[in-house]
Amino acid sequence: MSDFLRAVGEHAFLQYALAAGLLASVACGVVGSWVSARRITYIAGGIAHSVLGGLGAARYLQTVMEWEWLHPLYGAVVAALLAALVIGFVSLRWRESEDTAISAIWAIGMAVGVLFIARTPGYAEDLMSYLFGNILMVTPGSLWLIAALDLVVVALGIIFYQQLLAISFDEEFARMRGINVEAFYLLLLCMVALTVVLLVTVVGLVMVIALLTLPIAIAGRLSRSIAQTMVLAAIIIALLTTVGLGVSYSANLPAGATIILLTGALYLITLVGASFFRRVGRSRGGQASQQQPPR
Amino acid sequence: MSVKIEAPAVEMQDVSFSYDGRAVLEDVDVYIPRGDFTGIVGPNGGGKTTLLKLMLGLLRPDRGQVRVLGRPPHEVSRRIGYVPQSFSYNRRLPITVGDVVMMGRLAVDRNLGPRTAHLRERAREALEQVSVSELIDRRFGDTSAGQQQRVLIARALATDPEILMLDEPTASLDAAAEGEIYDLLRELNERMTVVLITHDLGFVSGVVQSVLCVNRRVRRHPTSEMGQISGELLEELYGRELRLVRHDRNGGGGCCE
Repeated sequence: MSDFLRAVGEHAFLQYALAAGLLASVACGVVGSWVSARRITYIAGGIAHSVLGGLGAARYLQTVMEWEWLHPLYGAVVAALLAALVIGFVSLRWRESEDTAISAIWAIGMAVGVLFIARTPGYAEDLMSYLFGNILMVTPGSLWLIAALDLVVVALGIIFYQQLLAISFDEEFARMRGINVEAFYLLLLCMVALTVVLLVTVVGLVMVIALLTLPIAIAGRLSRSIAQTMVLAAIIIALLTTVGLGVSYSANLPAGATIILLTGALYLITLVGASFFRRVGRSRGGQASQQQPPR
Repeated sequence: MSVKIEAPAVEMQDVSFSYDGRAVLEDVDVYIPRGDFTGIVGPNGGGKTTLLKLMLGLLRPDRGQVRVLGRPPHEVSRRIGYVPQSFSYNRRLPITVGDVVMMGRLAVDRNLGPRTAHLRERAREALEQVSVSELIDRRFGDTSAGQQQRVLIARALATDPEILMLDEPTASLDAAAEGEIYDLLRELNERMTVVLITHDLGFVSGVVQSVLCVNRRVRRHPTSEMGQISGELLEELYGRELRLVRHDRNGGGGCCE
């Protein structure tokens, strides 16, 4: 690990990677908390995979059509927002078709991406880095985009805290309080879309879902409010990405997969730990609740 | 209070509602004056909750007109306090009792960004009215069914409602807790109109001023007329009345006058 820290001081690409990981952690903690609160993990998965269509199309236009300015991440942003809005509208209009829409967006997005990448000469290795992440390839340009997206989603997640909490807890009551439930649902899906793009650079689109759910589940166990979950989850993710980066650098392993395996391991440990404490707590708490008179 | 003529709390004229082509309510006329305490009774699937949701503006009628406080209900929904039937929520959602009650202040107080101390104070006041203010920092999912029901009533009260509408608020409670909720509602009725779905006919006769019997059609009975209802219903009322008396500490009126 000390090797890694020294290397960070020497190599700009490691600094960029570290910065990307930390930036993504904040967005992931905030938006992941809403994903778990509103139970839209499957939608997040669908959006994540559809992003390949945007990445592939942008890469194709960039190299074949020579649109130099079109960074693949821009394509990812467009594809993710498009997927979020399509899934959102379907789920609001025809709730029973939501699953079908997600599956369709999920697979069609990937198919579009695969075709574009196949038609793009000399960039086959891109496919792997989109799917499984390549945080070491983060450039200053993409770092700026990541920072901008980060700012947007975190600000939205905090400004509309009460509205998002209300639609997550009790949609009917929120509607009666004059909250535009549909608009906030679509807004939340768009926030998920932007966060997915952030995370794709870190762990790749296949593994986004793990980072968006597991740390939140760990933090949620320890929190009494969504705000606490957000802060705690962001810290956990920041630690995971940093340690994961260090381990992958020292052991020469792919960074994305290393981060995800660390995440999975941490989740497993807390799961076992929680069930152990619950068993201890039940034998104690059971007696306490018996003594309490019913209100 | 000024003497000016106020629109009634609820007025429904010739309202019909169907769900997937199945008529749930037909030709419904309802009139609930302000300050009334109305009980809605009827068989399961008879349309009680649908009737309430039409009043709340959560459903729109196929035909007919619904007016609440003289306006279409969705325009005045912020002036209605709604207590849903024990509803399904995400049990893993980390949310405190205080957070739940503060939702009642949405669209009233400043509600962009994090919650303020003022909001928390309002939540505490509302919880005090239902005497569970000590729960404010407890996780909502960790409280008992009876406590949750009180918290949901507190959330409705936090909206400063003119009408309180409740859907079977005592469905998951034991008799003692049920009695406390009814005492509370009677107290609240001094300040606001109360409309309540209940399966407990004994309670209906003891506390409410009028009864809506809902079974696809709706009939309204002031409780003073209850004696004229069929013997079968009366028997049902009588059987429950015994139970009511046991936890009715205020004494209160009997079934009929």
